[in-house]
Amino acid sequence: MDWAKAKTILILCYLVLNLFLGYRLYADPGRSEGRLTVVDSAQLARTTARLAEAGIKLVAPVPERAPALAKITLRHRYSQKEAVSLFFGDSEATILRQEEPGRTIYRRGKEILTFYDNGAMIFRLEGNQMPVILDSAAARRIFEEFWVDRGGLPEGARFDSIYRDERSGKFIVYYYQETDNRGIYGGQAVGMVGPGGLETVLLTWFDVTGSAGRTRAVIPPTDALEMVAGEVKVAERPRELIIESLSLGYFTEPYNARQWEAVPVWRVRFRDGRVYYVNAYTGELEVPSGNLFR
Amino acid sequence: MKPERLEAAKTVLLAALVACSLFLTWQVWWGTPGQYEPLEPAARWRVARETGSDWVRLVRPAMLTLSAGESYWVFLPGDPGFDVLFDEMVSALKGAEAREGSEGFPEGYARFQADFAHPLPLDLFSGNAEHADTRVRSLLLIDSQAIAGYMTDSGNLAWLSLNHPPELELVPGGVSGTPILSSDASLWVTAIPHLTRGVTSAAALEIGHDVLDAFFLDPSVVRSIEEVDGALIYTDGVRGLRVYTDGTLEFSDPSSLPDRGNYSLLSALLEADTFIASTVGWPEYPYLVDYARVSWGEGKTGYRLVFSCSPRGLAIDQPMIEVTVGNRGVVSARRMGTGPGQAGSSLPMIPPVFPFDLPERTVQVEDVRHILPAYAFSERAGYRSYRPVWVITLVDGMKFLVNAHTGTLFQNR
Repeated sequence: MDWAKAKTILILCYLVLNLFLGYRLYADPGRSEGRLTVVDSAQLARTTARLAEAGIKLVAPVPERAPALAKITLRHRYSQKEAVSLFFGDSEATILRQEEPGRTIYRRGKEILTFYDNGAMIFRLEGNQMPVILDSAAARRIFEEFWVDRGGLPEGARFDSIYRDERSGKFIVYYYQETDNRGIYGGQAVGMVGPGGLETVLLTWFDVTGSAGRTRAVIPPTDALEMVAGEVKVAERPRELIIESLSLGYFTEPYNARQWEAVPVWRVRFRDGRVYYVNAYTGELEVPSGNLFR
Repeated sequence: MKPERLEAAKTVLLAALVACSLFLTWQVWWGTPGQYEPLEPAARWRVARETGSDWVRLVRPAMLTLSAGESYWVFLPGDPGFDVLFDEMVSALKGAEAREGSEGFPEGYARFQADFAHPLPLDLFSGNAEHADTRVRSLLLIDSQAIAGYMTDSGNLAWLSLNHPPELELVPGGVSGTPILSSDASLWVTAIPHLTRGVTSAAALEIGHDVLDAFFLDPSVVRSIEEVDGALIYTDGVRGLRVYTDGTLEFSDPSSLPDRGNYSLLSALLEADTFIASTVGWPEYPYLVDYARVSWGEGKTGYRLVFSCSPRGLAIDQPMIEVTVGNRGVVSARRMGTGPGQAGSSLPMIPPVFPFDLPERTVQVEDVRHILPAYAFSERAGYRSYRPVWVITLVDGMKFLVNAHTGTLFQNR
């Protein structure tokens, strides 16, 4: 027997077989125990058509692939003491402290910090600002300048959006928290800027302490979009609806808790400021309970 | 390259290709379970037992009294024959209609009485919607007679006509009792059974390690929140389960808020039965303590059901499970963290002696409407237990407890 020739033939056969198997694995959208969720163009076209039927225009890029994710565990970034230090600095000036059910209020002159038991903080500055000519760029600059004196925005802050409240004429500047390129929606720094300058700052910020549970596939973004379309369909629609942003991150609310878990969500943001969170495991809409949340 | 070395390299390459093909084949074969993991709702629910007509087990009376001539037997939940007798009563009452007049019961027949720890709607037994607002405290049947009596919670006596006269089967079981006749002595028997029961400890109830499997269709999507006070909350974004440090469990499912439409107590009992059996499980000999119709506006109604249990045959006069249910399922549920634990040594239960002195009055035997044996919660020097008592309800509605081991007024501390 010609072993040399036989080996050559076997090598060629196995090479072809491995190429075939490799391609089969690569091309199969449902492979890899849900490590990757894939959206094909036909699926995207169907969703876009359904959104159009519901009067919704999709301008946000839709990810073609989404990785499987595990839950993450969170805890509050700032204790009460750290929050006081963050907003008032290490000044020796007297800070008045007042405890109320569910919250503690600190005052220094015209500055008021309310620290809620669930970790949310609201800092108010009462009428001590210089009048400014206000537009969205100025509002954002004013908000960012506020943080410069405090060592910059909290680590991982990413600019999200800015809106003008039509009734009051004030601008609301949104930053969200990001860790390892994933949004921690619910971790947010929000500023309300009026004609007299920065009026209110809302801060909820978290530390990611690890992951929880097993890594599992997420639903396709198209499913999340259709879920939101179904919700918006029945809601009041004041004007043209445009989905401006679609992203995969984690959802949480501020809790009066030591530690908790957050689940992956698809975040769908409309141009008019509305935001929806769709649980990326179950496809159900997450409904934030507090009005501090966006 | 020398031919020998070339052949050696080809051998290594071939071996590598074979290994690679095996790995890829394994990946293709085992590594593609599909894009999503399927949910298996039905399979994930632990169904502890078959349900259906078991609602009768949830409305057990605290005591059944069978009297024939001068003999009295008392049956408590768990006694042999208890369920057989009660099933007979429920069966006989089906289709019963109101009966005019007050001719009284014929003498000389065996009679059979059920006393409930808490009043229940008569329509649950008769199936007659006209009885929906009538809450009965006691029911009474006469052997071979197509007539039944009931006593309402306010002490009124009334009569029912039965479709078929019951044939009371004298089943072995129960304990003998001493009758104490109430003011309506000719009709109603308040009997004191000759019992021996010990103190039962109150223990923290177990929380199964599979508690999440029981409450959530897919526990892998559930996230936990560890509250500052140590309580744990589990939620899938819609349903929520709170586990308190004392073992109390609280479940809520706003997605089960009911639709418009009528919903019967019987349907609510069946729904609650299935839910509790498949989640935390029923305690020993559960019974319905209280119920109330609740509404969420716009014609959406349901029932709030409160259950307790009867360890060793004595009803605990304390809620153990609360369930709110509508026509779309269980909206909320709560299981207390403490329940009956180990039973102590049995001691004779001393019958209450009349006249009985209360701080504000003296109770004569004629004042008594009925007496039931029960367990009452007690906490002394940090030791929590259930102690045997007599629950004495007077004709004027007043209720008090007598310590069944000392014969004195019961103090829970």
